[in-house]
Amino acid sequence: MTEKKVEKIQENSETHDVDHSKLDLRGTFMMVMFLGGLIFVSWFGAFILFLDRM
Amino acid sequence: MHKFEKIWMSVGTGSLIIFLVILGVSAVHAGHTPAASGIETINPEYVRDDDRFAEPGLYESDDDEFDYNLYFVASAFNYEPSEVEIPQGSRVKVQVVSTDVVHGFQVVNTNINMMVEPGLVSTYRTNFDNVGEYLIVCNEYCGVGHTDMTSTIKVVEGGAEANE
Ligand SMILES: [Cu+2]
Repeated sequence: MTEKKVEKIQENSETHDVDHSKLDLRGTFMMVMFLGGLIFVSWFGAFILFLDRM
Repeated sequence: MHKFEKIWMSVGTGSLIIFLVILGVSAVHAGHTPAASGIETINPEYVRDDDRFAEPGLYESDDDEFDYNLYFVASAFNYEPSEVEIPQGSRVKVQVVSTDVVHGFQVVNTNINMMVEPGLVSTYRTNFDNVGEYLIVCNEYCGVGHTDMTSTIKVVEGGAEANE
């Protein structure tokens, strides 16, 4: 019974892996990059303000 | 792993490295010292016995590195001096002590922002290059009069640069 279970999990993880790389992540990618860019710009904004006040 | 995942993970890791390198360098660059290094202590009960803090204010510096020493005594709920004039372009060593509890010492619109802890002499080296009135506020809650605890630095024309 346990063997069967393990087999099933492996099968699942394999199919999951295959599905994963086929996902359409373009929207996610754009959103992640947008948020990343926002963090990047605000970090340098604060840093430039700091340098300006030196 | 998905190709996009690889991209955003490397961008994220890369930015983190850039941020940490900049922070690490600026923490020790240009006279900056990590917070706990080179701290000078003083007995908060005998602050007034120290020549510098008997009558705090702006004094000419003997040090070649500075034009003036600026001494402040913070106590509940005021700063002494309550107003000080500094010639424009002065290189100043600011030293602040507390006689009672923890106070703050922030000069608005500058990078000067220190905690003033009883027992420690808080030091900041800076140049006052821009003419104007700068508000000093306490940003460590110190009691009922905390909100009224302010002082002013007036940077005025006719400093070292004008004499040359
Ligand atoms: Cu306060």
